[in-house]
Amino acid sequence: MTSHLVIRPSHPTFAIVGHPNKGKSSIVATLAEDESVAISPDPGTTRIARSFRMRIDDQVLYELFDTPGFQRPRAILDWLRQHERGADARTQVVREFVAQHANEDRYRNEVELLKPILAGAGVLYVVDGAHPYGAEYEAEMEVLRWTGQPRMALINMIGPGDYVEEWRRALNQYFSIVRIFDAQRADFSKRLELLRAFRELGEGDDRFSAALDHAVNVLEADRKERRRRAASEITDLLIDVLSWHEVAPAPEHADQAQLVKTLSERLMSRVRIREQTARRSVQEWYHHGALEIREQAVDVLSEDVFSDRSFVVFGLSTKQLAMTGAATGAVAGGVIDVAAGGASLLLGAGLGALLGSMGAVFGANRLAKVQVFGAPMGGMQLQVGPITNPNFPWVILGRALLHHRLVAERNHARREALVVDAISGAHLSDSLAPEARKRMARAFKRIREDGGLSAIDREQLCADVEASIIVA
Amino acid sequence: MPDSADRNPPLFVDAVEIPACLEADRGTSYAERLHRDRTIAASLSTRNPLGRVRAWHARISRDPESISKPSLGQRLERSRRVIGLLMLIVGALAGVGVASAVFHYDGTWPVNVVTVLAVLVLLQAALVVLSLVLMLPRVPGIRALQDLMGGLNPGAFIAAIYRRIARLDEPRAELLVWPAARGPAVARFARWQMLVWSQIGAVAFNIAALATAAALIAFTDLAFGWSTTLRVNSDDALRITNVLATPWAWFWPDAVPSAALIDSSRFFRLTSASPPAISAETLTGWWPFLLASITAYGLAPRCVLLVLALIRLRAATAHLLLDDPQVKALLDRMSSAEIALGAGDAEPPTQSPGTTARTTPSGVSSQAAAIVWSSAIATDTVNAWSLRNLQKEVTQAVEAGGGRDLQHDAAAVRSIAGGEPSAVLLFVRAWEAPLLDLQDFLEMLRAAVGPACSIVVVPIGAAGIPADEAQRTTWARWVGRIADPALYMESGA
Ligand SMILES: Nc1nc2c(ncn2[C@@H]2O[C@H](COP(=O)(O)OP(=O)(O)OP(=O)(O)O)[C@@H](O)[C@H]2O)c(=O)[nH]1
Ligand SMILES: [Mg+2]
Repeated sequence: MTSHLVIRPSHPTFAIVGHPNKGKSSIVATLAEDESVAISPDPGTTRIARSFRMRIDDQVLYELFDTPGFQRPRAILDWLRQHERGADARTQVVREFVAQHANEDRYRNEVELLKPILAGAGVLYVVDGAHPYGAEYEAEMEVLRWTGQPRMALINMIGPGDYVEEWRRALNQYFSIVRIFDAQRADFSKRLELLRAFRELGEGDDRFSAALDHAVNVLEADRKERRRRAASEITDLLIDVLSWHEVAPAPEHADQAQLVKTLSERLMSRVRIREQTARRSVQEWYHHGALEIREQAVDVLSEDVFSDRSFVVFGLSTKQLAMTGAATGAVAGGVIDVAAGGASLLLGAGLGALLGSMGAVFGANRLAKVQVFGAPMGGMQLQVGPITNPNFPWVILGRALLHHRLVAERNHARREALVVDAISGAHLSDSLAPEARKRMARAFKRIREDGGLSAIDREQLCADVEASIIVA
Repeated sequence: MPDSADRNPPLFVDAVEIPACLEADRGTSYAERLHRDRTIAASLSTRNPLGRVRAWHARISRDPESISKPSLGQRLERSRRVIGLLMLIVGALAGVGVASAVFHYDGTWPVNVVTVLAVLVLLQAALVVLSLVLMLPRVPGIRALQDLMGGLNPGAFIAAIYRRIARLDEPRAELLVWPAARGPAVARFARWQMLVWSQIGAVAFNIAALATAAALIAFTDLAFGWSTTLRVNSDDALRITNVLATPWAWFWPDAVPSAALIDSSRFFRLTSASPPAISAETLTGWWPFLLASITAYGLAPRCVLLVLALIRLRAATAHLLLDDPQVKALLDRMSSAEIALGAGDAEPPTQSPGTTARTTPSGVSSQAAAIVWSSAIATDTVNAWSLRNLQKEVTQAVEAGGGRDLQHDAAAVRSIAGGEPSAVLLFVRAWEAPLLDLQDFLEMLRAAVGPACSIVVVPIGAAGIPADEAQRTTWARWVGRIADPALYMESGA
C-alpha cells in the first residue's frame, strides 16, 4: 500500500499553510529574510506555492513553502469523506484528490498548498491569535490531519486582541505542537528558537535534526560575519571621510573665499555619498536593500551629516571629547589651521576674508582644515580638508552604528518605511569604554595626519568599531 | 621585464586596476558578487592572497564584457618606465660629465687623485647615507628630515616634472609623486618607487663615470698625482689608501697604491710650473686604485640599494593591492560561504485589488431575513443589532457556514427562500478573509431567492462591534468583484 509509504525529502521541508491573510507570507519573509515576498492586507495575495531554500553553498539545509490560503476547505473535506476507505488510506485519498483536481481552477489554492505537503513537507499551520477562533477552521485542520504529515500550529498576532487561550484549546485537538510566533516582531533569537522547534516535526529523524541544528549554527555564524563586515565597512567609511581633502589651483588674483566654499561643498558632498554607499552595503548584507528610511519628527539619519543637529545628537560632548585626549583648546569653536610659512603670507589681505567666509560655510561648527601651499612646479594650491572638527568622526560613527542597529533588527515582514525615533540614536558612542574611545580618537588623528591607517591600526580600529556595534 | 606584457600584467598594473575594477563593481548586488567570486575562488589552486586576487582579476577581465581599454594602470606603468628611463639617462649623462671633469687632463697638471676621491667616493658615500635615511621607517624623530630630503630627491623631482608634462592629473597619479602620496600604503609605495628611481640614476651615474674614466685612461694618456692643502704627509696618505683599498687588496694587489707611488706622485702647484719629472709609469699608476674605489664605494653600494629598493617596492606594491579595503572585501567574499535564505525566483505579480461594493439603494424595504455566517453574531441578538445599526427588522435568522457541512448550508438557503424575503442580510466575520466557500454559498443563495432579492453583506467585528476601515475595504472590494447587481455591502459604521 502506497499510503504507508512515508515520503522523506532529502532535507527538512515545511509548508506554511492556513486561512488567507493570516500572515503566512509574513512568517516566511521573516524566516527567509526576504524583503521581496508579497505581503498585503488584501487576502489572496499569495497565489502559488513558492519555495524558499536555505542553502549554504550548494547544500540545502531546509526548505520553506509559502502557500496560498484555503478557499474551499469544507468542499474538500466533503470530497475526502465521500472517498473515505479507512484511516490507513487517508493520505492516499488526499493524494487522489490532488491528482483529480490538479488542472481545475476550482481547487487551485488547495492543490497548490497540498502538493508540498504530499511531497513530504511538515505542516506549519498559521492562525491569528489576535482574533477569535471559529468553527470554520475545523474543516481545514481536518484536511491537514488527513495528510498524515507532522504538524505544528503557529499563532501569529495581527493586532492588539488576545484570543490565544481559546485558539490553544482548539489547536491542541489537531496539532501536537502549538507555538506563538509574532511574524512582524520576531527578532533573530526568536527565529532561531522557532527553527529549533521545527526539529520536533522530524519525528526522531537524526538527519532532520542535524540539518536544522546546522542551519541554526550557520545563521548564528553568519550574523557574526555580518557584524564583522559592517564594522569593516564603517571603519573604511571613517578612514575615507577623515582623510579626504579637495585641492585646486589658486591663482593669486582668484576669489579665495569662493574657492574655499566650492571645495568645501565638493568635500561634503563626497562625504555624504560615501555614507550612503556604506549604508547600502550594510543593508544589502542584511537583505534590506530596498528598505526606505524615514524619520519620525526630526530627521536624524536622513538629517544631513553636516547639520548642527547631527552634531548635537551624535557628537560627543565637550567633556567626552576632552576625555579622549584628542581635543584641547580647539574644541569649542572647531579647528581651522592655516598653514604657517611663506605660502600663506602670500595671500596677504585675502586671508582675513577667507577666514571670515569659513564661518559662513560651516556654520558654528567649523569643520575642515584650509591650507594654501606652493605646488611642486610653481603656482599656489588651495586645499580644504581633511575635516578636522574633533566631533566629526563621532558623528559619522554614531550615525553608522544607529543605522546598523536598526537595519539588523528590522524584520523582513514589515513593508512600511523604517521610522526612526530621533532619541533612539542619541550618543551611541557614550557606551564605548573610555580606553576604546581614546584609542579611536588616536586613530582618527592618525588618519587625518597620514591620510589613512596602516594595516595593523586599521585592524584595531575595526575591532573597536565591532565592539561598539555589539554594545549598541 | 619579468612579466610578459599581455598575459600577466605587471603587479603594479594589477595594484591600480583591481581596486578600480572593484570600486566600479560596487553597483553589482552583493549576492551576485558573492556567487561570482565564490565560483572563481573554487577553481583557484593557490592559497596565497596576492595570487588569488590576481588570478581573480585575470578571470574577470577575460570576460568579453570588460573590454580592455588602455587603462590608467597601464598608463601609470608606462609613466613609471619612462621616468625610470629618464633617470637612467640623466644619471648616465651626469656620470659622463662628472667623470670628464674630474679626469680632465690638459697635459699641464696631473689629474688630482684627491679630487677624484672627494667627488666620486666621499660625496657619493654621503648621498648613499641620505638614501639610507630615506629608507628608514617613518619614525617621528627623523620624519621632518625625510620629508625634506624626499623633496630634494632627484627621483621625486623628475617624477613631478614628468607628471606635469604628461598631464597625469588623476588622483591615482599621486602614486608616482612621493610628497603628494597620502595614506600609509600609497605613501610607502611612492617612497620606494622614488628610491628605486634614484638608485637607477645613481647606478647609471656610476657605470657611466667608470666607463668614461676607463675610456679616458685607455684612449688618452692621463697623468695622476695628488695634492691637498691639508697637512697630510705621505705616510698618512698611504694609511688612508690602504684602508680604502681593503675590500679589493686581497685579489687585486695592483690597485693598492704603493708607498713609492704616493711619495713620488705628490705635487704642489706652488713649487713649480709643472710636476717634477717622474716616470710615466708612476704618473699612471693610480688608475687601478681609482677605478676600484669608484666601483667599491660608488657602484657597489648603489647596486645593493637598488636591489633592496626593488624588493621593498615589490612588497609595497603587494600591500598597495592587499591593503585596499575593496580587495580585502573581495578576499573575504572568496573565502566566505554563500548563504542563501530567500526565494530563488522572483515573486509573480499580484492581482490588483479591484473595485468596491455598491451601497444599498434607499428603496430597499425595512424588513429582511438574516443569515449568520460562521457565527459572526449570536442569532438572538441579530434583530437588535440590525435595528440599531442598519435600521432593519430581521424577520427570520438562520445560521450557516462555520463548522457546519455543506448539506446544512443548502437546508438554510431553502428555509430562507421559503419566506420569499425582499432582502437578505448576510452577517460575516469582518476580520476573516472572504473565501470562495462563501462565494459558493452566495451563488447558491442567489439561485434560490431569485435575481430581484437584495443581498446585503454585513461584516461585523468581534463581539458585535462594527467593522473597522481596513476590514470594510477588504469586504467592499470582494463584494465589488462578484458580478451580482443586487449584492451590496453595509457595515453600520
Ligand atoms: N500587526 C501585524 N500584522 C501582521 C502580522 N503578520 C501579518 N500581518 C499583516 O497581515 C496581513 C496579511 O499578511 P500576509 O503575510 O500577506 O498573509 P498571508 O497569510 O500570506 O496572506 P495571503 O497570501 O493573502 O493568503 C498583512 O497586511 C500583514 O502586514 C503581525 O505579526 N502583526
Ligand atoms: Mg501570502
